[in-house]
Amino acid sequence: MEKNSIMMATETLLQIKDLSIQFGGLKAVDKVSFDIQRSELLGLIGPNGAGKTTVFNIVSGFYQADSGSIFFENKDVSQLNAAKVNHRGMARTFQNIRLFKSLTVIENVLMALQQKKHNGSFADWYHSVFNTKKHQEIEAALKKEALELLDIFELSKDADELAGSLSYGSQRKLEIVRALATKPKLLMLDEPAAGMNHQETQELNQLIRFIKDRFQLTILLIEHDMKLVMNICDRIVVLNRGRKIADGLPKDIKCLPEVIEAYLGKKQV
Amino acid sequence: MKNYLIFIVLVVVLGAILNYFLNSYIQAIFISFLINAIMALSLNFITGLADQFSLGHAGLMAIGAYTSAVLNKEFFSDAWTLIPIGVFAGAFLAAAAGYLVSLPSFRLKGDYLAIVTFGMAEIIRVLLLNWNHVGGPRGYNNITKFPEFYYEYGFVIFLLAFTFLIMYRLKFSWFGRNLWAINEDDIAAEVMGLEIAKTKRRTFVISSFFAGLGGGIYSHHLGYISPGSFSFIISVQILIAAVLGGLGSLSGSILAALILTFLPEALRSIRGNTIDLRMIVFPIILILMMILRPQGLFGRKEFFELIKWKKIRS
Repeated sequence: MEKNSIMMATETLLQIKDLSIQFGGLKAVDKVSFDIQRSELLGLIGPNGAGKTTVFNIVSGFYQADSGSIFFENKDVSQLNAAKVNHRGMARTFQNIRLFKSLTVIENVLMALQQKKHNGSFADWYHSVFNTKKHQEIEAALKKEALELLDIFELSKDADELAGSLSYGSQRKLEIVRALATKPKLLMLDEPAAGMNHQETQELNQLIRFIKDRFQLTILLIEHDMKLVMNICDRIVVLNRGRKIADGLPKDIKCLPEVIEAYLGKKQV
Repeated sequence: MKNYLIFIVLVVVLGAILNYFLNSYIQAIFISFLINAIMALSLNFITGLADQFSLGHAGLMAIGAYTSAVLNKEFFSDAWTLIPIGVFAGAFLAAAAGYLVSLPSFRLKGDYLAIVTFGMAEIIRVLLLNWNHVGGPRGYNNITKFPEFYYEYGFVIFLLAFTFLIMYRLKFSWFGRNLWAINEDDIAAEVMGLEIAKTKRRTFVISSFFAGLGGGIYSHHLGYISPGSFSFIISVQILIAAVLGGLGSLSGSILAALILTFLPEALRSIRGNTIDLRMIVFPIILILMMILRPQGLFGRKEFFELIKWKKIRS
C-alpha cells in the first residue's frame, strides 16, 4: 500500500520536451522542457512576455509547436486540436475570462458537461428530435449534475442568471466550474488571480487547494501574484524570454539569483 | 398533445377559409408564404444559430427544385401523388451538396462559407443554364402540380411544421446549446471539447436539407422553374427574411416571411401616376425596421418566450 502510494506520487502525468515555437523572428518558447507529476500543483511563472501563456496555448492545442513533443499519460498529444486535447483529459481557463456570456450560468456548465453525454450519434439525434423519454432523462441527469457542481462553488443560487451578469470573482469561479465539468485529469489555470484584490486572492488560494483535493486533480498554474504562487505550489518552473531558467521547490526558487534578477528585479542594497 | 390538436384544428379552419372564401390569387400567395418561411428557417438555422453566413441558399433551393421536378416528370410520369417523394429526394440531394460544400469551408475561421456558398450557387445556376435537357435558360416547364388547393395546402403546411418542429427541438437541445456556445465564444467552446468544424458542418447539412425541401415544393407550386428563379437576389431575399425575423428566432423567421410575402402584394394598390410606388415604400419599411429594431423582430427569442417575458415584467 505504502509502495503503491509512492508510485502514484511519482507518476508523470504531463511531459513536455524541448518545446519551441517561433513567431516571425521572435522565439517565444525556446526548448522548454518540464514535467508534471500526478496530483502535483505546478506553478509556471515568469515576467511579462516570458512565454507562459504561449506554452499553455501549445499544450492546450491552439498552437502547433515548431519542434518538441508533449506527452500526456505517455501518449503523444502534440498534434491534437483543442477539442481532442480536452477529450484526453486536460481542461483550461483563460486569462481574460471567456464565458458564454449570454447563456445562463447553468447552461455554461451544461454545455461543458454534455460533451461526454451527447456524442452526436444517430441515436442521439433521434432522441433529441423526438424528445423521447430517454432524452428527457439524460437532460434531467445533466441538469442535476450541473446543479450539484454549482452547489459546491456556491453558485447554484445564480443558476438561471446570465453568466455575463455575475460579479468578476464569480465569473472566474464559473470558468473553473465549467472547466471541471469536462472532468479533466489536469486543470490548467491561466492567471486566475488577475484583476482580483487581496481578499479575493486569498479566497482563490483556498479554492484551488479545495478543488485539487475534492476532484483529485493535477493543476498547472500560471500566476503573477507571487504570494499566491509561493503559498500553494508544490513546485515552480520559471520562464524568462522563452527559456526555462529554474525548476524547483518554492523556497529554493525564491533564493536563486537568476530568478530574482529576471523576475523580481535586481537585488536591493 | 393538446397543442398539436389545437394546431391541427387551426390549420383545418384556415384551410377551409382559404379554400371556400378566398380566391386563387390569395391562395397562391399563401402557399408562397409557407415556402418562403421554410427557406427563411433553413437559412436561419445556419446563419442565426451557428453564426455562419450563407449567400447560396438559392443554389441549394435550385438543386431541390430541379431534382424534384425532373424526378416527377421523367420517372413518376407526372403522378401528383408522388410529389412528396420527389421533394424529399431533392432535399436529400441538396443536403449532399451542402455536405460537399461544407468540407472545405469550415476548415478556416471567418466568413468563408459566404464566399464558398455564393460560388456554389453561381456554379449551379450556370450548370443549369447550359443543361439543355432541363430547358437551359428557357426553363423547365409543365411541372406536375397538385390538382386541388387543399392537397397542396396540406402538404406544404406539413413541410413547414416538419421543418419548424425539427429545428425547434434541435435549438432547445444539446445541439442548440453547442451552437449558442460557438456563437458566443468559439475558442472557449473548443476548449470544452466541442469539435467546432464538425458541428458547423452538421448544421450546414441540416440547413441544406431544408433548403432543398423548400426548393422542391417551390417547383411544384409554380409549375415552372428556370435558372433565373434561383439567382443571387433570391438568396438575398431569403437572408432578408431571416434577418428581419431575428437571427436565431425560428418563429421570427415565419413572421418575417409572412410580412415579406404579403406586404409587397398589399402595397400593389399604392400607385403613383407613372411609377410603381411600392418599390419605394417597401425598402423604406425595411430600412426603418433596421434602424428601430436592428436585432430583428424577435431578436433571438421565440414567440412564446417574448410573451412570457412580458408577463414577468408587468
